[in-house]
Amino acid sequence: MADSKFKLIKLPKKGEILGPDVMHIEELPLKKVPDYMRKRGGIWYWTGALISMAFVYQIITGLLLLLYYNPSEAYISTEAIITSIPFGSFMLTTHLYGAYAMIFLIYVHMYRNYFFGSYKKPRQMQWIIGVLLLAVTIGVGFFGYSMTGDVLSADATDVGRGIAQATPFLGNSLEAIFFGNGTSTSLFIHMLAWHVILVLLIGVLFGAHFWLAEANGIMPSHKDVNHKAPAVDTEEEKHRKWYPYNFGFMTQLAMYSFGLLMIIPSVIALLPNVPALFSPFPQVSPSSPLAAYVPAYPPWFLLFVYKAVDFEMFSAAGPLSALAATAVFGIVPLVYFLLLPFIDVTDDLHPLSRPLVTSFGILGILYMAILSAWGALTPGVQIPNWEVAAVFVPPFIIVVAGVTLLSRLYKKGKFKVSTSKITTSFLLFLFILMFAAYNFGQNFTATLVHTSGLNILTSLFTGGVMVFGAIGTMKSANLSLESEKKIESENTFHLSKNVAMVLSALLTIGTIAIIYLIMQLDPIGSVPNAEFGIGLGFILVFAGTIMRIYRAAFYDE
Amino acid sequence: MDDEPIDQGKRNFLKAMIVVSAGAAVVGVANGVIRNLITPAAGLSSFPTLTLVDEATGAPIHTSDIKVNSTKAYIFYYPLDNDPNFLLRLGDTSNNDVRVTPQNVTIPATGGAFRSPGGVGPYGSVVSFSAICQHLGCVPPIIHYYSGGTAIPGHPSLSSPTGFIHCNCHGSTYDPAKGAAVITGPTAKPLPNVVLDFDPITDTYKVKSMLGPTIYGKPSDLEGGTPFPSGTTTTPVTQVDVAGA
Repeated sequence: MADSKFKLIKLPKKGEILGPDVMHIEELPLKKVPDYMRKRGGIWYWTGALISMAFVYQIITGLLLLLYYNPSEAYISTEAIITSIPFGSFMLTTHLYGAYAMIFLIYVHMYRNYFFGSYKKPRQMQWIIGVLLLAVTIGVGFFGYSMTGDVLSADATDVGRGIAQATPFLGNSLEAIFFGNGTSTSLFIHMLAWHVILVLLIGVLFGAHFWLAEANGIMPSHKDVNHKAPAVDTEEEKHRKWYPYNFGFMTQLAMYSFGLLMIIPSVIALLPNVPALFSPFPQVSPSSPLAAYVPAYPPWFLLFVYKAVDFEMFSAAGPLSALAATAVFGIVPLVYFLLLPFIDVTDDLHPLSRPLVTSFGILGILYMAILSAWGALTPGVQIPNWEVAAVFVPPFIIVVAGVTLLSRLYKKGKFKVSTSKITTSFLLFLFILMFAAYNFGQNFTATLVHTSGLNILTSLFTGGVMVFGAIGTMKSANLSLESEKKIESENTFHLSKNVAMVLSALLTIGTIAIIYLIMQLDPIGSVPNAEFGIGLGFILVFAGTIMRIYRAAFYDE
Repeated sequence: MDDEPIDQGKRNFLKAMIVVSAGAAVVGVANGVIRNLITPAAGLSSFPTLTLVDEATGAPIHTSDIKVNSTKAYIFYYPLDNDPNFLLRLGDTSNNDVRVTPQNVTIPATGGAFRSPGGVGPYGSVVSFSAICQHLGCVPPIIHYYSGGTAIPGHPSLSSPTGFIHCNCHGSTYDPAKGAAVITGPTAKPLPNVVLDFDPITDTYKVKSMLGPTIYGKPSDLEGGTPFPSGTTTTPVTQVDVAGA
């Protein structure tokens, strides 16, 4: 009998000491989700989760940095964090890139839900709170970026103060509220405090946003609700349980995202000659003679407003130019997004059923990308009105006309595009289309202003690329329709259990080797910190991969 | 049920791999976070030599600026910007200078001893000690100098012409004429001695180093505080009112 076998120690059976579910994890009131959300391509459904991960990472690294940041010596203490605090360089560089990731992912999350019509009934408040979260996050990013006290932060702060000060009636008060009384210490204490206070606001808004996401449930595929709002998941009971299926997936996602948040800035930290815009380190101090050689960039996520200040039409406003540019390119889009649930009150979910909303979304991305690239390439160069018009008007006409045309065809049933799954090729072609449309607009306008053989040739070339992009976009959109049926079978990634064991053992040996190596590194200094970040990031990626293998081998996911 | 435990052994193997690899990540994170949390020591690598100057004028102080049996305590900061020290010119009850000779001072806590440098100045009567009580870290004016003939609270029988340094927190008493040796507990360590250097030509005082126990509450005399800004050559002497002295 097995029981009579001699045992050195008696191992307790699972659940014998702590009980079967001592954390009551199976009772967590979290929504169950359909299987396809956890499969290949399912990452598009988790953009919100990715933002939350980045947010958590920011809080952890931010609170640790708070122990060493000194507002009365902003630049010196920032440099000290990099050069003399153990793992300070790791914390600071990944904190910066965590913020970049968060802001970038918020845009991805927002536009995804914008094009999918997720702002419609019953998710109007969820959308509005989400837009507020974008605004507050950019505010936190601005204050955080300004805290380093380097030459870029000094420039950004001056512009921020200028905008606050130029506000009619409230100017002086706004400046005193956000930037203090003008002394350097007051300025940096205010920026630190607002950086933290606004994060608390993010926490509150995020709580509401998450509650609404859980209460409204996931947005089912457009087909399941016949492309009509309200799109609610009526089949929740049929989905697999949250624990362990989603738990496993979330763990994997957390490991991957934390891993990448460590690896990317650490790799960039080791690269030579990284442009100021993407450098994970602060630039020189504003009092350094080298400061004159650093172009006065804002953080990349504010480049679009920055370029607009150079426009002739805004420059005419003199001291109000930055405020005017912020109002037109910052406040107007923000108000539009906030009011969107009240502007578009139809129950049509398909992007081509709401051509104007879709056009504005595409134009929003396009203008922002154009303005940002423009700001990065020609910082501080004045732009005459005709050139502004040449850049803004042609894409507007092309996009609105194009989307309206596709919309007509779609409504007549002649054109089909699936929105249930965005493929990489679709996005790639869309990008080519948008970029070519922008260039074509410029070249075409240039041809009208000075007709020359070169201008005509470049117009024809970019026009050709634009048509290629358009065809590709349509084709790939159709392709994703065809592949919709295959999602169930093809994207199931099944793995033999023995292969899974071998792979996971190899990966585990890898993690142990890496941890052994990175424990030997000097805890102080930006180079060993970057190596540490890469190592720790890969350990997390390996662990996430073992989780992935586990899900493939035992959950058939 | 689709999660029926099949291949439990293989499942457990993979789970163990997840735990081990996640454990490696936890080790890495904990290593980073804990070492980051331990704030690196700030301080100096060697004792600076600073000239004692008048707080108000910034001019070096002379022997005549230090009053024998002063009713106010002369305090200066050394070796770091937040380490207070007494500056005393010892005298008898008639305010005549009393020469203090170098001598061995025992440390009751360890049983060891150190050589106290003795007094400096034209009369060998100027001495200096850390003004942080070695018992639990009380600072002036709670710990202060009682000149000869002044009654020590709680110890009416104690008397010495050169007085005592006594801490009102818990009653520790030190003898300034004997290298701040322990007279009464609860302290088990003498006050750290400050090494002074007197220049008879210019009649000025320089502070050079510390001897004896480590200044209370610090990992070492040169760490655990704010160093003077680099290039500092002086440390100002301030007068602190001593209530009841």
